[in-house]
Amino acid sequence: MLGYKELPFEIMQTGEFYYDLMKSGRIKIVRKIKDPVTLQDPCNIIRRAGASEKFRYFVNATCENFTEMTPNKEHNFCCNAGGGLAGLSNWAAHKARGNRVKAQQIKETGAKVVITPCHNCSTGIKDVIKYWDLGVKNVFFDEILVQTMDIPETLKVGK
Amino acid sequence: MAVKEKIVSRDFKEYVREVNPDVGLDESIKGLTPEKIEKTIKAVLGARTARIRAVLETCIHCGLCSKACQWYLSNDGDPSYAPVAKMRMTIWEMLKRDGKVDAEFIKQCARIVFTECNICHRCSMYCPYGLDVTFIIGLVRRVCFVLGVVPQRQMDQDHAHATTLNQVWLGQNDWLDTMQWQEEEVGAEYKDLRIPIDKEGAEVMWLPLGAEPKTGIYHIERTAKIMHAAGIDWTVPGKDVWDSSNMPMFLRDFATMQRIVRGLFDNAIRLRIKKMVLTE
Amino acid sequence: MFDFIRDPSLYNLVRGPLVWIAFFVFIGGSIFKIRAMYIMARNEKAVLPFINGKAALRSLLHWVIPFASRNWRLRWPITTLTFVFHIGLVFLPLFLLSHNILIHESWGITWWTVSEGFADAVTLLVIFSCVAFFLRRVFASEVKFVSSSSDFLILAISFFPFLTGFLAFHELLLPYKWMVILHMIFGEIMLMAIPFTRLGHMFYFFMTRTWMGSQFALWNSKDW
Repeated sequence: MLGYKELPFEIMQTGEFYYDLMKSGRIKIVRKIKDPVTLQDPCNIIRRAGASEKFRYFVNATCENFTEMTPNKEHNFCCNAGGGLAGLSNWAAHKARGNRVKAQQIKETGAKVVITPCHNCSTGIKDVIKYWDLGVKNVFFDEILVQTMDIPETLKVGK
Repeated sequence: MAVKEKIVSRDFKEYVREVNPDVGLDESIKGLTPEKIEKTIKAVLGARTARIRAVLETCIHCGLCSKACQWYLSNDGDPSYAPVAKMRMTIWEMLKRDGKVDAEFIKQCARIVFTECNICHRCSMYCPYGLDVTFIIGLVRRVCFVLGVVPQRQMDQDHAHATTLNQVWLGQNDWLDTMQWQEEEVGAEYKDLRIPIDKEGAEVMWLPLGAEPKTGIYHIERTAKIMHAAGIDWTVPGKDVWDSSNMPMFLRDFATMQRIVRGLFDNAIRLRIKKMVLTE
Repeated sequence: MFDFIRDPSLYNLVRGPLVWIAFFVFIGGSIFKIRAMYIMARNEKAVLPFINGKAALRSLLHWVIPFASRNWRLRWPITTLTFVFHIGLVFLPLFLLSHNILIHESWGITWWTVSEGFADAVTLLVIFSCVAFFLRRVFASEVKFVSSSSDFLILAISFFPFLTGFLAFHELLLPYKWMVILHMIFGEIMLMAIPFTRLGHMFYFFMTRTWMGSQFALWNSKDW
C-alpha cells in the first residue's frame, strides 16, 4: 500500500488498543459504570476492521448494564456522520432526520448512555440525540476508561 | 414548525427534498460549462474498469439493498433514498446521457453523494450480488470533486488537509504547543507524566483526530492519563502528519489523501514504532 | 416425431441449426464475457491480489443457500420467490423429460429426469414468480423507481419459454407444433440473450460475490 508492501507496524483503533491493555493486564478496571449503556458500532472499525468482539469485551468489562442495539455488530446502522458527513453542520437536521432508525434503536435499548468509540459517530449520535430529543448522552471509550480504571496512588503528585 | 420549502427535482419527480442552502453547491455550479462537465465525466468514468462494469452489468434492479440503508428506512421508504436509486440518479444517468448533463444535475448528484450516503458499505452487505455500491458513489464523488461541487464545509476541510495536512488549519507550532501545554496540565497531577514528542523506538505512536487538539482537548488529557497509568512507552509525531482523519479520502481527492497516508506511515517508519493507534 | 409436422422446414430450423447457434452464442459469449471481465480485473491492479478464495466460497455459500444470509431472512417472501424461480429456471430445462428425449434422439445420451407432473408444477411456479416479479416492478416503489424497459425485457425473455412450454404441453391456445416452435424460439432467444444482457448476472454473480466476500474477509468481517 502506497509504497509499503508489508507494514512493519500494527495499525489499530484506540478501542482495540484499550482491549489489548486490558487483556494483557496493563490496565486494571476497579469500578464499573452503573448507568444502562448501549454501544454504537462504527462502520469503519466494525464492518471494515472486525473489532466487534473486542469492543464488547471492553464494554462488558467496564459497564454493568449493557444492552445491545438491534441490529448490531456488522449489521449496525451508520451514525449518519460517516463518509465525510461529520463536518456538515449546516446539514445537521437533514442528517438527523435521515437517521430516525438510529433514534428508535437507542430508545429501544432504554440506555442512558451511548458509547461512541469514534469521533464521527460521536458527532452523528449527538445530532440524532438532539434532533429526536432522546435525553441520553454519548461518551467515548477514553472517558469510560479514565473513570473506571485503576490509577495507582503512587503515580499521583504529593503521594 | 414552519413548513420548509421543498424542491422537486427536474429529472426525477420522486426526488423531493427540503431546500438546504450550501455555498459549496449553490455557487460553485455557476462556473460550470457543459463541455467541462462532459470532459470530467469522461475522464473519471471513461475507462470502464472491471469494478464499474461489474456493478453496471450485474445489477438487476431488484431493490433488495433498499432496506439496508438507514436513509431509506428513516424516510418512510422514500424510493429516492435507496442505494440503487442513488446509483440510478447519478451514474446511470450520466452514462445514459453520455456525460451531457447540466450544472443543475451535477448539483443534485453532489447532494446525493455527499449528504445522503455515508459510504458505510451496508448495502454491499445486503446486496445478493455483493455489488460495491459505495465504489460507484465514490466515483460520482470524484466527478463532483473534480468539478469543485462539494458542500462548503467538506471542501474547507479538504483545503485544510491539502494545506496543513490536518483538518483544522493547525500549524506545527500550535500542535507542539498544545501537546506541551497538556503535558504541563496533566503533569500537575501525576508524577513524571510525559507526552513524548518524536521519541524514536517507542512502542506506540498515538495519533489524534485533528479536532482533538483544537476543540477536544480533554481527549489528549485522558489519553495521557491512560498511557501513564498503563506505563506505555508512547509518542506523538512532532512533524506532520499527526491528524488521523482523512477527509480527502471521502471526497476522492487522491493526491492529498496519499500525502496524508504517506506522511503517517513515514512518521511511523522514522520513529520505528510498533503500533500505530488512531482515534478514528 | 417427425410425422405430425406439417412444416418441417421451420421446425427443422429451430430444432437444428438455431439450437446450435444458440448454444454457440451462449457458451462462446459467456466465455468471452467472463474472460473480458477477468482481463479487465487483471489490468486494474487493485482487484486480483485481494481475491481470497476461501472467503469467497464462504460468502457464495451463504448467498446461494436460501435463508443463510440476514437479508434472505429479512426478505423471506422475496427470497422464497427468487429461489423457486431460479432453481426452476436453471434446473427444470436440464431435467425435463421432453428435453432429454430430444437429446437422446440427437446424441443417444440421456440422464435423470423429473416426472411430468412435477415439471408441470415447477413450470407453474416459475410462471407465477415471473408474474409476481412483474407486479413487484410495477407496484413496489423502490423497485419501480429503478426499473427501466430493459428490466421488463429480461423478465419477458425468461418468462416466455416457460409460458409457451406450459401451453404446448397442455395443447392450449395454438396447435401443439406451433407452440413448440414458439417455445424453441423463445428458449433460444433466452440462451443467446444471457451473455449480452443483464441476465449475465448468471455468471457475474459468482465474480461479484467473490470480490465482496474477499473484501469483507480483508476487513475481518462477514457479508451475510
